[in-house]
Amino acid sequence: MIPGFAMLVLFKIGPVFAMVISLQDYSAAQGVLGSRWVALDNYIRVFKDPYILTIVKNTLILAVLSIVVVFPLPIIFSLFLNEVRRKWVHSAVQALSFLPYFISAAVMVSITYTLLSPSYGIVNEVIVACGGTAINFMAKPSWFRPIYVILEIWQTFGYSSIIYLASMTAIDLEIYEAAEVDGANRWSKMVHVTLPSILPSVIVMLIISVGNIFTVNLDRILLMYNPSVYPTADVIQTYVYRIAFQSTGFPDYSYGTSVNVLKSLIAFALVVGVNKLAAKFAETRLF
Amino acid sequence: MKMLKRVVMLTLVAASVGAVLLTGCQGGQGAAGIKSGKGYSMFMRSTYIDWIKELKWYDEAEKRTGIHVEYVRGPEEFADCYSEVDQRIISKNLPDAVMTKLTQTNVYGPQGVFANLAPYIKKYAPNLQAYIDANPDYRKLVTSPDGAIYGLCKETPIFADFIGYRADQFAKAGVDASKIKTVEDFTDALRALKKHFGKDNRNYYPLCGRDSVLRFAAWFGCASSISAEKSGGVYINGHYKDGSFDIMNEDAYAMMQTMNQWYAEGLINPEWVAGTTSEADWESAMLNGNGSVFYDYYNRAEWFMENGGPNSDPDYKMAVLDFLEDGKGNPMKVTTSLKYNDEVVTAVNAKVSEATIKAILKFIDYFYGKDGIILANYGVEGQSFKLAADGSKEFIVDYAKEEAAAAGDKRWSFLSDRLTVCKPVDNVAFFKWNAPLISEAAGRLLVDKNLLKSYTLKFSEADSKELSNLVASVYAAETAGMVTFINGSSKLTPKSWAAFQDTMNKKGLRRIEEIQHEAFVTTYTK
Amino acid sequence: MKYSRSDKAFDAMNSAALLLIAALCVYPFLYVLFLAMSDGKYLSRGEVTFLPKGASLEAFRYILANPRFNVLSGLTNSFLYTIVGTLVSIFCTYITAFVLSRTRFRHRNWIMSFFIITWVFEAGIIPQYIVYSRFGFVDNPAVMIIPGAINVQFLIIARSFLESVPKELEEAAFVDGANDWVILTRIFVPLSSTIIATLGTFYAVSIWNQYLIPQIYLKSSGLQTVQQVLKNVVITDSASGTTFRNLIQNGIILNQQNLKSAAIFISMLPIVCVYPFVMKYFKKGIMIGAVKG
Repeated sequence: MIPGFAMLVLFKIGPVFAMVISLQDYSAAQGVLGSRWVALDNYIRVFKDPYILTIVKNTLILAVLSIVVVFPLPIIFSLFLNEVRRKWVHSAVQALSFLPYFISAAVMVSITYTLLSPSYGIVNEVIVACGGTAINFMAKPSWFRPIYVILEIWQTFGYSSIIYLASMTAIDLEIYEAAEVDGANRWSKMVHVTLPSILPSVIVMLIISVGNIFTVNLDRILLMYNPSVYPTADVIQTYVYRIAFQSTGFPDYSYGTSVNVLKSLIAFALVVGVNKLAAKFAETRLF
Repeated sequence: MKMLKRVVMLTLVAASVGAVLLTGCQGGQGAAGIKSGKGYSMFMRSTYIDWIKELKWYDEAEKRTGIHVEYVRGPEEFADCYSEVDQRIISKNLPDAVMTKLTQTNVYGPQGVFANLAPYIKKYAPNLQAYIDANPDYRKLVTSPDGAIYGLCKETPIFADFIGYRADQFAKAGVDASKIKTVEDFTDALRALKKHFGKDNRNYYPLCGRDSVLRFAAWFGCASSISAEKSGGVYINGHYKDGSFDIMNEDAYAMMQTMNQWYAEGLINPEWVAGTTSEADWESAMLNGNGSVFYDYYNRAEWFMENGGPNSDPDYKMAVLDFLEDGKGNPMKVTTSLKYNDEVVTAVNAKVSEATIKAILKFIDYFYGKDGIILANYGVEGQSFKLAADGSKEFIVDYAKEEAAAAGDKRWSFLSDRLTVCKPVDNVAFFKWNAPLISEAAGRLLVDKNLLKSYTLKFSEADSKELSNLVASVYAAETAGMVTFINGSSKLTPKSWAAFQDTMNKKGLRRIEEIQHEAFVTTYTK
Repeated sequence: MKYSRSDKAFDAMNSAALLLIAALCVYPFLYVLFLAMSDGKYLSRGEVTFLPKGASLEAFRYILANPRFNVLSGLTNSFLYTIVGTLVSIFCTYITAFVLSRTRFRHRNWIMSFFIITWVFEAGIIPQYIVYSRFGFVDNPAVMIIPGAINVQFLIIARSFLESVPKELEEAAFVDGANDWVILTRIFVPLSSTIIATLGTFYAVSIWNQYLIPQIYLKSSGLQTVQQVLKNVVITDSASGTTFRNLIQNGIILNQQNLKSAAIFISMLPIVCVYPFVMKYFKKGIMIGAVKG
């Protein structure tokens, strides 16, 4: 228990205390104890910084796309997969579709670069063969979101469908039989029996997604983005990362921390709220 | 809970064993193995370290001085190197000496991160002291208002980028390079090349390059500038040469129009414009025949000849184009390197002992003395050079053969534009050490009428910080904005251009110019 | 249930469609393998589309043998971090979860809430860097192992499992005079093989795939993980200051695309190899996490 507790204090709570630098004009040379205190100046700057709007907007758009576009697919997928009778097909499909979940963002993005390269990528080969002109996908702000979302689907739909399939196996076969007696065909069974039975899982998953609305796949974005796609790709965390670790001026650690603290506060409130909702409506708690 | 005591103990033991094991296999960081006074550790850009390890004269210098430097590898990109310095300051993980930049020593020096070298130079480095005394510009640059010296700039040879081109491809496309005088001629040449080579190679773009695509401003007369009257554009952080431009200059609009045309007609590599190419992409494009022209480092034309060009195409032949002129036969002056490079500064950790400071300065000082200057610029007599009858030194090793040595192999090399050790430069030796192709071009092109003079500016601590932060945001915004005009995603009209200028001024461009101008006045006119 | 003809048709169509989707999911992985295996001369002509051409393993050999790409050292480092890190993490998480799952332990609730709060409320990378760097985690492989040894999500999973173990077992042992250590090792550990395997898989995959932490803390090229190496070789293209040139190895032309693809494939190979064996533990973990949570 001591190591666990030590880790809690040192590695998890420690950084929370270091957040005080958001109230300072933190200088790398002077450290937390020696830097000048500036009260809420940094927070006031956050609210005055017009760029904050862009990154908040980008963050939210990615989250909303993840909910609207990515979320329904595994539900549909698992509804159909549940209908498969051949066992080997069932397990093969599950195994293959689940695999990308294990693959790192670095590999996924590297593959994306390979596939989309304007000079040799297969996608552009096809476009050119069809008479189009090659598109430099990774440098076009308008392509960033679609690519991000496709990667999200590719990586997570197998994972999510496992959850839905698990709740489908829990459905009592008698319900199906009863439905058949009532003359229900395959479609109406899927829509009227299977779907409602997994609804609680769906709601929980949906609630989790809403709670994580400020959580983007940071690794993926850091690996994918470049200055020409900042208008759509730059999100809160990448901005903070650049302030701290890729600044060409003097890194404004205090300002970066302030941005992050505000983000964390809102995210915290959301998750706690959502947890309450989940407890109330789905009778499950996330923690 | 008492009962859990044993569990606790065991866990603790296991965790600490794990931790010890892991810290044990930590990489060879820091000054381990260096005897006090006999050497020191130094953080440096990794590429520079690789190059140092190939130099025969460098090994000789360590032998002669009896001082060994243990290099700590930094990132490859300059900007990342300086970020790492910031991080090493936070983590109190600074080696004895650091490659940094002047803005950082200006700010972190007075805060106690870097040692004040002034008294030690007086004490231990007579040659360096003499150099400082003899070069008041240098003294002003490295000295703080209170007389402290927190970092030392190295001296750099004065050179400019050259326009390298594939002479064989020009001939095949029927382009006469000697007829290219103006930007319009240049654009026409690109068109002819595109027409010839682009018809069955969709990846062919005659003009290609690396790093910033906004490197052509001097051809249009709108490079960033500084004088007693005014300052135009971002001039610091290396932007006096590569990536130099002044959007407020009236010629900048013409530059945008031309570059937009290059883009629209497929004359310039669009991935380069987008900023998604790497140096390797550019090199392979030039080697594979996917590009024909570049405006880059002065010796790059030769580099391609030595690094695989003729292997990929037996006709492969590089040449260096004359600089361009305006319509009336006047040369368009190009931007040049700085004599004192403020981006490769050597600073010393304030925490090191006097013995280590002495070792660092003793090593540097050797290169400011007579023997050291000869060693670093010509090597060893009888091995790499001989004395001619008139007393001048002539290389007896062949440039092309030496520089063609495989990466990592020892060679004689005197390319003193890079950082090896903080030291002065012999310009004559620098240009002697070149292949005929480049020697010829340097003699033809690097003459005063072609070159803009460049100035290193000295800033106060507060200005350093403000400027550095402003430049970080304004320069990125300028670049991003100009790229959208080039690739057509923003339509270029006098009105949209004026709006862009206005936004940049509001974002801080005007303030940058003010601070720069003030610094110029204090550094050079008072 | 009866099978009608239309049922059969539907079943066939459905199966085929799903198999196609599943194949699409993994085809990109195969595609990079094919690229890596193909002869560079077909690649530069854009002739490799769906299957390899002029198959050879030269690209793999070259990229592994050439130390300047760092692929081999990246793989070794990642293996080391993953193995040590997984063992340390399982140990710490399991013990902590055990203590926090015992109702006899009075402080369990507030400690658990602290864990959860730090999980939900992130301090962010800057304060984290300031604190971790003072613990000496910069350029220290321990950063891959120690700070992340307790992942709160996995702790919750382990704790819910341990809470579900019937109290009677423990109480009986207690009456027999067994202390906590005996209870832990004799009763709980043997019952927990599945949960330990699940934790192990979770941790191993997450350590292997980590990108941000090593990118911030592990700067020396000798310490970098395979993910960082991949980023350098494929995305930033900066193979330690050297460039990909057209190489001829044993009569096979290798180009940038071959070598990059080989690097990609090599770095995902370990995961792909262990995947069939650990998939079931992962599914298990997801179930516990999702259903109970």
